[in-house]
Amino acid sequence: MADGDPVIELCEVHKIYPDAQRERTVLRGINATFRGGEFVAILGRSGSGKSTLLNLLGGIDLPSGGDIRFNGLSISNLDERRRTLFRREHVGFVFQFFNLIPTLTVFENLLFTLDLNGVDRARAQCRVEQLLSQLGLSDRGDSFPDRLSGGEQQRIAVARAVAHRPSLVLADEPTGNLDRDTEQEVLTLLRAMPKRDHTTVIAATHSPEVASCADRIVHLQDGTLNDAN
Amino acid sequence: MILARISMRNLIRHPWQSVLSIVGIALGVAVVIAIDLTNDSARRAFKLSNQMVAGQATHHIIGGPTGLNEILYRDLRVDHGIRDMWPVVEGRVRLPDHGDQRFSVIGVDPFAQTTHSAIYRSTRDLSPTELLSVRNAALLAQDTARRLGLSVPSELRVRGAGGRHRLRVTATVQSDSALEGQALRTVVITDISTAQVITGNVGRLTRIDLELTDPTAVARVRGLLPPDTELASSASRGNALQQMTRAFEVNLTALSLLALVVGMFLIYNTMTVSVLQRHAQIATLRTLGVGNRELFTSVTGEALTLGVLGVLAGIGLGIALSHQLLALVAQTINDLYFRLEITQVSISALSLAKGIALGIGATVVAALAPALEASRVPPQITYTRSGQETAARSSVGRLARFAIVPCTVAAALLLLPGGSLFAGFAGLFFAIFGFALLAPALLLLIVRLTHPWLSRALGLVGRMAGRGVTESLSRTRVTVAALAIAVSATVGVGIMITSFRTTVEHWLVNYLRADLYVSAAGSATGVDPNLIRRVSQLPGVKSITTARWTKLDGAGGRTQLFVLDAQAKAFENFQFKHGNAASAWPRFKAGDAVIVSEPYAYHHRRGVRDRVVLRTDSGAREFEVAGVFYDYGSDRGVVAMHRDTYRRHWADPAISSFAVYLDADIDVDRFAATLQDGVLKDSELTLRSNRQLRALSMEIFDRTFAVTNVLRVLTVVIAVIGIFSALMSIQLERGREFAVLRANGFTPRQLWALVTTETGLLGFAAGVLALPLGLFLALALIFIINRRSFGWTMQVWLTPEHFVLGVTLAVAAGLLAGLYPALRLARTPPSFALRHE
Ligand SMILES: Nc1ncnc2c1ncn2[C@@H]1O[C@H](COP(=O)(O)OP(=O)(O)OP(=O)(O)O)[C@@H](O)[C@H]1O
Ligand SMILES: [Mg+2]
Repeated sequence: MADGDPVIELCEVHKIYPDAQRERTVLRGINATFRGGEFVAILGRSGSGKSTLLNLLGGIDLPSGGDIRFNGLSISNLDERRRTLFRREHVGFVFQFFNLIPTLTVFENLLFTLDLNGVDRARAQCRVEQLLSQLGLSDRGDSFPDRLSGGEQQRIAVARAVAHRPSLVLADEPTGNLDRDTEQEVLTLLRAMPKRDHTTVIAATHSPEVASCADRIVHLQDGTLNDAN
Repeated sequence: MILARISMRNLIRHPWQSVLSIVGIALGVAVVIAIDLTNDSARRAFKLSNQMVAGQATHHIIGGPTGLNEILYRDLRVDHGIRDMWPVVEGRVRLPDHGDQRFSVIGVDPFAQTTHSAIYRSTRDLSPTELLSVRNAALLAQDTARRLGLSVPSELRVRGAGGRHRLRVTATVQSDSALEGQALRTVVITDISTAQVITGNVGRLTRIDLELTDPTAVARVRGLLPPDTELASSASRGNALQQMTRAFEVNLTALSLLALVVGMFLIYNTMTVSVLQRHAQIATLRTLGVGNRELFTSVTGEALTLGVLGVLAGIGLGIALSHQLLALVAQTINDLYFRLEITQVSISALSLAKGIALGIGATVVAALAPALEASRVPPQITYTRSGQETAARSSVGRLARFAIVPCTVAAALLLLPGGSLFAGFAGLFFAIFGFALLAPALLLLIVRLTHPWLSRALGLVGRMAGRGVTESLSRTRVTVAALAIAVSATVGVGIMITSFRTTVEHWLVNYLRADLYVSAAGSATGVDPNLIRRVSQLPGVKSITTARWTKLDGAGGRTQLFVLDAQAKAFENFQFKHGNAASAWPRFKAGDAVIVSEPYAYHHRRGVRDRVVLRTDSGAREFEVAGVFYDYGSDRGVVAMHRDTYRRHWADPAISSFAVYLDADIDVDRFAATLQDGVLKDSELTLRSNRQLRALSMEIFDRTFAVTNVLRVLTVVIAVIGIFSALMSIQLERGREFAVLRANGFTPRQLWALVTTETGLLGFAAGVLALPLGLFLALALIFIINRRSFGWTMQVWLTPEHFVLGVTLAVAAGLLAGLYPALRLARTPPSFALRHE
C-alpha cells in the first residue's frame, strides 16, 4: 500500500452505551479518513470517547450506527470470529497497561502474534531477533515482563504491535505512565518502526509530546472529531 | 503453539494450587476406582466360587432346607440314564488345630468323571480310588496345604455340624489360575459320604448340578423330579444370589461418586478463580486476535492437564485403596449375605477405564463454565475487577431463580412414587446442584446477618472482613458452595448412620427380650432337643423358645426362613408395621399363616392378607401373610413361621438356637456360668447373654458401615484440600490491596486478623449452609435411598454432634487456609507488593 491512500474511512459512526438508567451517547456522527503511513494523534478530555473510538477502529467493539471501512471492507458488519481474525492480521495494539503476557518471556511475547498469523518458526525467530536488536534489548529475550522497567515494557509492546507488519497500529495512551525521557524513547520507536511498512498509527493521548510528533492532530469533542485548525 | 505454553506456565506459576487440584481429583478417582475394583473383585470371587463346583452346569436340582435325598441322584443316573450330572455336598467346618479357621467342605463323586467344574478338574490327575481307598480321605489345594504346614499324607482335624472328625490328606490338587486358587483357598475336598458325615447330613445332597443343553432334556428332568425339589437354571440362581449384594454395591458406588463430585468442584473452583484472576491477560490475548474458541480450548486444556495427572495418580492410589477396602467389604458380605472367600483384588481393565473416563469426564464438565467464561472475555483492556464483582452480584438473583429447575427435577426424581434407586441418587445429585446455585444468595444473607456482630467484636477489621467476602463474591461464592456441599455430605451421611444405628439399637432392645441365647454354629442337626429339655427343667427357667434359621433356595431366589416355637408372650417381641400381634397370633400359631419382615414385604411387594409361595416337601404352597414386622437383621428380608406350621410342611426337626427366659429373681450371670459348666459342657453350642448378643449385633452393624466411614473421611479430605487451595488463592491475589492497607498504616497483626477473619467467615458460612443441605441429604438417604435399597423404616435421630462437627470442620478449614496467606502477606514489605502486581 502506498503512502497517502485512504486505509480507514469512518462514516457517521455513532456509539451509544446502554447505562444503568439512561443511554449514554459517546460518539455522535464521526466522519474521518486515515491514510496509509500517517501518524495521527487523537486529543480530547478524559471521558470524551478516545478509547471508545480506538476500540471501534480495531474491531474490538461495534458501532451503534454508521460504518467503518478498512481498505473498502466494512468491519462493522463482520461477525466476532472475522473481527478476531481481522485484528490478528491487520491491527497492532499498544496500551498503557497489560500489554505483555506475564507468563511468556519477552522473546515469546514478540513471537506470539507472528505465531498466531502462521509465520513459520525460523522466519518468525529471525524477525524477533531483529526487533530486539532494534530496541537494544537483545539480551533481555529470556526475561519475563515483570523483570523489565515500565519503559522497557512499553518498547517491547511497540515492537510487538508492529512485529507482524499490520496496516494499523492503535495506541491508547502508550506513554501514559512514563517519565519524559522514557516517553521520548518509546515515541521515537512508535514513529519510526511503523513508517518502514507504511503502517498507519493512531494514538489517543493527553500528552503534548505525543501530539507534537504526530503528522496530524484531531480533537474529539462532544462526540465528534475535528481537525486541529 | 505459544498459547499452550501460556497455559502450562499458568499451571506452574501456581504450583500449590495445581498440585492440590491434582490431589483432589486423584483422591476422587481413587475412591471411585477402589470401590469399583472392590465390588468387581467380590463379584468375581462369587462367580468363581460358584463355578468352582458348578462349573459349566446349566441347571441345578435343589431341595428343601435339608437338601435332597441322595437316592434321587442314583435314580436319575441309573434308572433314567442321565449322565452329564454330578452331585454336590457343601458345608462349613472349622479347623481346631489351625486357629479354628473357617473352611468349606465340598464333597465330590469320584466316579462322576466330569471335567466341567474346577473342583472336579483339579482331581483329574488322581485316580478315582485315591479318594475312596483311604477312609476319610481329603484333598487340599497345594498352596493351602503349604499354608497349613501339612505334608502328604497327614492328618487334618475338622469340626462341623456333624461333630469332630479326623481326615487324612492324601493328595494335593492344583488350580489352573490364581483366581481359582483364591476360590480353593479355604476348601477341603472329600468324597460325598465323608462330606455328608462331617456336615451332619447323612444321606442328603446339597444339590445336583447338571449340564442340559436341549430343552427336551430340561423338560424330561423336570418331569422326573419329586415335589420337594426344583430345577433351577444356573443363570437365574446366580443372578438371584448376586442380587442380594446389589443394593449394598450401589450404595457404595454412589458414595464414591459423591467423592468424585467433590473433587470435580475442586477443579471447577481452581479453574474459575484462575480465569477470573487472568481476566486482563485474557483480554490482551483477545485484542491480539486470539479467538474465543482458542481460549475455550486452552482453558479446557489446562483443566485436562490437571485432570489427566490427577487421574494417573488416582489409578495407583485407587488400586492401593482397593486392597484396604477389600477386607472391609469382604467382611460385610460374609456378615450379611453369604460366605465368600475374597482375598484378591482382581484388577479389571474395565474398572480402571470407568475410573479414568469418569475422572476425565468430570474434569471436562467442571472446566466447561470457566472455559466459557474465558472465551467470553471481551477484548477490552479497560478491565476492572469491580466489573467482575458487579456481574457476580447481579447474577446472584438469576442463579437463585434458576435453581428452581434442578430442584424441580430433583423433587420429581425423589418423590414420584415407584422411582428406582438410580433415580433416587440422580435426584440427590440434582438437589446438590440446585443448592450450589442458591449458595451465593445464602452467602450474602449470612454475611449480612453476621455483620453487626463481627463489627462489634472486631471493629474495623470485622467490618472489612464482611465486605471482603461480598466484594470478592465472584470467587468466594464458588468456594463456599463447594465447601458447603462437601461438609453437608459428611453431615448427611453421619446423621443417616446415627439414625440407622439408634433405630437398630432400639429395635434390638424390644426384639431381644430373653435373658440368654444358645446357638449351634453349624446348621444341620443343630441343638439336641434333649439338651433343651434339660435346660428347661433347671430351676429358675421361666420359658424357652426355639428357633430354626434356614434358607429355601429356588429359581426365584433365596428365602430366609425363621422358624420359631414361641408362646403368645414371646410373639409380642415382634414390632408390627402392618397388622398386630393379637390378630396375627391365632393364624400364625394354627392357621398356616406367616409374618414377613419389612424388607421382604418391600422387595416382594407383599402386604397383610397377600400370599407368599414357598416350596414345601409336597411342592409349592401358598402361605397367607398375617403381618409385616420390623427387622433390621437382613436387608433381603425374612419369612417367619411357627414351628408347628414348619413341621407340617417340612421334614426337618433341627433347631438352630434357643432363647431362655429366666424368673425375675435369678442372677443371669451366675445362671449363665452354671449353664456353661453344666448342661452345655462339652457341647459345641455358644452361649450369649442378652447384652452380649446386642453388642455383637451392633458390632456387625458398625462393621457394615466401616467402608462408608472411610469414604466419608476421604470426601472430607478432598473438600478440605479444595477449600484450602481456593481460599488461599483468593487471599494471595489481593497482595496489592493489602499492600495499600499496609502502606496506610495497617499493622501486620491487623492484616493477619483481617485475612483469617475473612477465611474463617467463609468457612463459617459454608458450615452453616451445609447444615440444611446435610439434613436434607440425611432425610433423602433415610426416607428415599434406604427405602429403595432395602425397604427399611428408620426413625430420624438428630443429635447435635454432626451439626457441631460440620461447622467446626468448615471453620477450621477456613482458618487454616487463611494462615499461610496471612503470614506471607504480613511478612511482605508493602513496597514489594505494590511494585510487583
Ligand atoms: N462499556 C461501557 N459502558 C458504559 N459506558 C462506557 C463504557 N465504556 C466507556 N463508557 C463511557 O464512555 C465514555 C467514554 O469513555 P472512553 O473510555 O472512551 O473515554 P476516554 O476518552 O478514553 O477517556 P480517558 O482519557 O480517561 O481514557 C465515558 O463516559 C465512559 O464512562
Ligand atoms: Mg481512554
